[in-house]
Amino acid sequence: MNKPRLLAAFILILIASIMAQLVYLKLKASAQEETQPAKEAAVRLTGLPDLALSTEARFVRHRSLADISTILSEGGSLPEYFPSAHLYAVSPQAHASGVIRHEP
Amino acid sequence: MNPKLLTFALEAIGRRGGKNAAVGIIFALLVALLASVLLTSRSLQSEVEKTLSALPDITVQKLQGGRQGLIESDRVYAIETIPGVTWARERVWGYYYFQNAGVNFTLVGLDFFLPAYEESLNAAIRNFDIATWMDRDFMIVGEGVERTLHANYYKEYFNFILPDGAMKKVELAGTFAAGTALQSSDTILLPVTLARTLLNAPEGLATDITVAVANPEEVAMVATKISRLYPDTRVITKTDLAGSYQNLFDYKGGLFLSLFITALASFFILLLDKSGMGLAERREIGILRALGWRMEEVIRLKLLESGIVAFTAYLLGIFIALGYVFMLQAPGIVALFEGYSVLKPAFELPVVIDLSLLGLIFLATVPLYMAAVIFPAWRAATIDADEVMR
Amino acid sequence: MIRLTNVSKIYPLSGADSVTALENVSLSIREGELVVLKGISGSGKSTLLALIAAMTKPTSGDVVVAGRSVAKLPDRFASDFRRNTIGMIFQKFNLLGDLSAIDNVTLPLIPTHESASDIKERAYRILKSLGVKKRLGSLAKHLSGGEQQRVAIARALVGDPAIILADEPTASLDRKLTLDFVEMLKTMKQSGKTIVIATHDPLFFDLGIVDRVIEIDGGRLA
Ligand SMILES: Nc1ncnc2c1ncn2[C@@H]1O[C@H](COP(=O)(O)OP(=O)(O)OP(=O)(O)O)[C@@H](O)[C@H]1O
Ligand SMILES: [Mg+2]
Repeated sequence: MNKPRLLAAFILILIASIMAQLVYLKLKASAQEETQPAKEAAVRLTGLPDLALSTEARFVRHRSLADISTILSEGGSLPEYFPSAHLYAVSPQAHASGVIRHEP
Repeated sequence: MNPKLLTFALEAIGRRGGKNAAVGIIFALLVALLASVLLTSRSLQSEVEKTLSALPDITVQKLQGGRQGLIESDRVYAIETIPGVTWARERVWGYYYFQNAGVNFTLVGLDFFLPAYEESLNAAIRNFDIATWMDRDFMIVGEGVERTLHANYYKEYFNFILPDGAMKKVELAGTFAAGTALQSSDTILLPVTLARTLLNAPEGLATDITVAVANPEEVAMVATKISRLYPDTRVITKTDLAGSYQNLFDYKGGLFLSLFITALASFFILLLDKSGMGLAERREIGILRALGWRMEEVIRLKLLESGIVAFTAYLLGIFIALGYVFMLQAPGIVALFEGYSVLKPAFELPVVIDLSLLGLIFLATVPLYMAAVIFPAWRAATIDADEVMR
Repeated sequence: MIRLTNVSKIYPLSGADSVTALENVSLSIREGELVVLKGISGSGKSTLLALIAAMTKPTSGDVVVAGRSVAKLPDRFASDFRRNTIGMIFQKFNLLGDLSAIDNVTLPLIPTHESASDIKERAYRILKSLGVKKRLGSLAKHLSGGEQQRVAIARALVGDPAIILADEPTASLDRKLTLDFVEMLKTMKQSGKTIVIATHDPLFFDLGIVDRVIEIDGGRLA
């Protein structure tokens, strides 16, 4: 097989793989869609905004409902709250150990 | 389009296969990086948007000396008399710092017996039967809380430390469904009275007041009325929350983007400088011109060549990004967005494939690449054709 | 067919320096003539051919080829002129080494509207008439000097040009191959083409096919 054919074949295989990937992801998306009522219910129970991850300060989850002084004062040891905090080591059990639990 | 030119372009790519493959792979990785970050950001943002409808329309906080203080519970009644308000409820919630693990939990007091919550309890909580927990101190925890407690050898109960230093034993009554980790990972639901004890909020005072408004058009108006009625309050509408979120994602996305643009720029400088137009390639253009190719024909050839390489690399980049984000859960990139939260939830990124986003990435990368190839080619094609006579 | 009137070509160098490659050259070549341009290295032979082929423009003077003033042609028309009217055999052949012999021959015709199989067919026919029957698919860089030269000639002929320009075509060839080339020249001449060869190879002058020798020295006609 010459090089142009090889390239054309590569592009076709790539497109086919992306198609397959999209189909797979579409299926996954609709499976995820089933947890949507539970998610909404959880938010309805607490009424609190913000995801359990994206906080500006390390100790304040509900950033949207906090003011600057709260963010500064909440921390147990007054840690920094800017991106440098990225490098700060947190206790090992705080990390999700990689396994995502699925409902039976 | 001239099929001969297309074939020739494909052959030309093959002839410089090594260089094109190397440049293409670097380019694909850059596209993959950009796409991964934007897809992750978009995915998380969609997670916020999807539950926005479940949030109260208005949250009322009381400010004291510039900080949030407890708010009088009986303000609920005055707020409920404002036309358009469906209901107003006091809410008791706060953070609890668990020293051993160095993490903060979000404690939320809930009136478990309010019929309005029944449906939500059934949908969001597993293995929980309210009837068996009457008059007991119990809690319902999110996935991250459960994980932290287990790591600290608490299986069935947890000893809270009260504001006065005493211990309070609270039994574990249930957990949030795993699929809600992004919403509930650090959350502990408790009966309101227990929450008051743990958070030191006396009867008659609450953390804040939530308000539901029947007509979305009237939310802004009701919010104004509340802040006029109680000038010492901060009134946060759902729109504010959405905006605050947008800011956060823009900020983090922007942080990344500024780094990314630097990387992209150095890539193109490299492309223009070194590998872009080797001596052999310049000579080839000179020969084509001497043989009677028009300028626009040479440019068209280079457009095809670079376009094919860039488009293939783009496809490869998107393929990698989709796999990396939605199959491998974007290791490293999720950290960009969850970086500062201490208790990291175990969650699966919701699959959101935004075609306009992919289009945007295309427009932001492929034409740049093509320009970086076309420009030197154009320069090589403008010199006199007699250069190749020597 | 070809007429140069008071043509000068000055190459500017860095600063105020410049090289005068051609100075006040006037000459004319009739249709069907085979003319040899003779001169030592650096005398301006290649420059003269480049001017005729509209690959560069004279600093002053006029170049008229096939009824057109090529000195004033806009780039696009100059390109078309090169493709349709001129067949150029370069000093170092200027083949694309990574392209096969036949692909080198079809190179000038790729942007045209002729079909791929048509131009392949044409290239094949010309190569065959020049005695290249094997190794059509080999990369040009793997061909011998004689084979490369034939491929270069075939490429010059593929567009069926009225004028053939050859810049020291035999410089890297031995006597036998040079004689072969002269044979090919004869055939080209018989088909009515106007031919200009820049060379200092004495072989050409003894064989009786050359109509006229133009001597050039230091950019001036002798
Ligand atoms: N692009 C250029 N820039 C500067 N000087 C040039 C350029 N092209 C040609 N010259 C100069 O013009 C003069 C004539 O060059 P030309 O190539 O026409 O000579 P020639 O007769 O073909 O020589 P040779 O037999 O070595 O090929 C030379 O002195 C050369 O250095
Ligand atoms: Mg020369």
